[in-house]
Amino acid sequence: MRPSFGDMPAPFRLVSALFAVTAALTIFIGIRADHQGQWLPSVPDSIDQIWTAIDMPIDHLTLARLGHPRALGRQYGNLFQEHVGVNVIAAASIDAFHEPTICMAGYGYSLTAQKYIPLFGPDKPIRAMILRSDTTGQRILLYYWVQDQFGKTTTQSSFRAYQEYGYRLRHGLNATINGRQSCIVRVYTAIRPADLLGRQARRNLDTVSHALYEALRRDNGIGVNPSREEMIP
Amino acid sequence: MRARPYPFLITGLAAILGIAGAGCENMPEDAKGGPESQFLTSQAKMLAAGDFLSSSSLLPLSQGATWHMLYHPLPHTPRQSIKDTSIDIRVASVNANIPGVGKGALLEVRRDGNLWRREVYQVTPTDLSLLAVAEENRPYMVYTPAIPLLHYPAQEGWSRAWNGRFSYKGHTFPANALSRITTTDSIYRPDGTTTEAYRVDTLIIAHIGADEVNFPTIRWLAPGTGFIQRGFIEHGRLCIAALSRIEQQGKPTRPTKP
Repeated sequence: MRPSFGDMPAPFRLVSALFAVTAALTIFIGIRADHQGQWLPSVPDSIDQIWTAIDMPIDHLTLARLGHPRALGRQYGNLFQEHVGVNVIAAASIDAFHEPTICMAGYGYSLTAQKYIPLFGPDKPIRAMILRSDTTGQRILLYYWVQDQFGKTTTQSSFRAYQEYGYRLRHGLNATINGRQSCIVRVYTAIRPADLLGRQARRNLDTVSHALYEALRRDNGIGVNPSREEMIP
Repeated sequence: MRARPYPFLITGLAAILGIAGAGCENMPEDAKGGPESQFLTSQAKMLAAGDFLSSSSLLPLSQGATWHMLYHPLPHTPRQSIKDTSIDIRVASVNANIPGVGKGALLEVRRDGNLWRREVYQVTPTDLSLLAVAEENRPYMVYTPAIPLLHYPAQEGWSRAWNGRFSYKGHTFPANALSRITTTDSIYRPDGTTTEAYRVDTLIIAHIGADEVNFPTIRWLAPGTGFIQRGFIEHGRLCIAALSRIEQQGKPTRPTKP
């Protein structure tokens, strides 16, 4: 006669059930997170006939720190030799969500200003930052947002430190329960000394960011998840 | 009594999910801005309403009108081989019909009285475009189609890319250009007061075989005045021509039809 679950002593039944639930959740989260991290949309090669892109792959060490996600790096340039750097990183794991101010602090840049701007619409914020070099005074304007396949953006402003496990857990659960594929986008440029209040740098970033946003929204991961196709306008 | 772990399991799991905020979107905190928040909030200046609505107010062209300017390298740059000189930009013809170029407003630029450059502009109610440029008495470098420099009403941040042809001495080469109203600057007038002017940056690149020839220029245009300042690259250095006196003669230009 085969032993049944009910024949087990009560404490073992509880432990077994906990193990089973944990295993199921682990598999579920792994599959969802892996699925979510497969979306890496294509981005435009040129924008408004003014900006043209060259590939600037993210270096291996950075990718290793981000958990080896699918990622692309581009640099857009115009005739005035102004450059806008772009990183698009598939949100495959919590490791991929790296706080940009921590990255830049390693290069000697400090955060001197930050605003949340509804760049793509009322409910579509981005996080805009000014980072100033502690030694040269050079300023970097950086836009950061996370965009899902339906065009919704978040800024993940809570990831301030590695130790904030509560926030990391929340994000992981959101990712797996919502099941939406997302990309982390960073767009940045140096503010030239003659650009006294950074308005031209902002216009440059706005132009490139809007083009990226639209490219990601159009791509929307249909190739990965065809069942969502009917939801795309 | 038999243990019933499942309700506890479900309750516990729900509590963990609830504490972690599963299903809720992360909303950004209210940003404080920071000591350099002006870099994120500064807005483009709009020059006085009505003053920039048409080409005739931002670049008034009348036959014989002359902008007298003082020309010098920017401070703190080596000055060898570049002397402070005078530059006069005179409207030679409002509606010239130049063989091999076309119709446009012909401006002659004289340096210490000697012909230094000629520029042919196409002026329409909505656009200011550059049709041709010549150095001294040499043949015209003709841009086809004309390169847009400005679009009215003028607005900081406007930019336009151009892809066309560059013709010189019967040869034609591909060329591209970018023109942009980069900012508004406060510029000193000859009477010591300041006025706001649009800074128009233009870079033309002619692709001649494997070489690229760059033609960068900067124009500061003030409503009602026109050229209040110009920038030229000479021997690799930026030189500024600043308005010292303006002569307005004749009747204002009538924009040509596009």
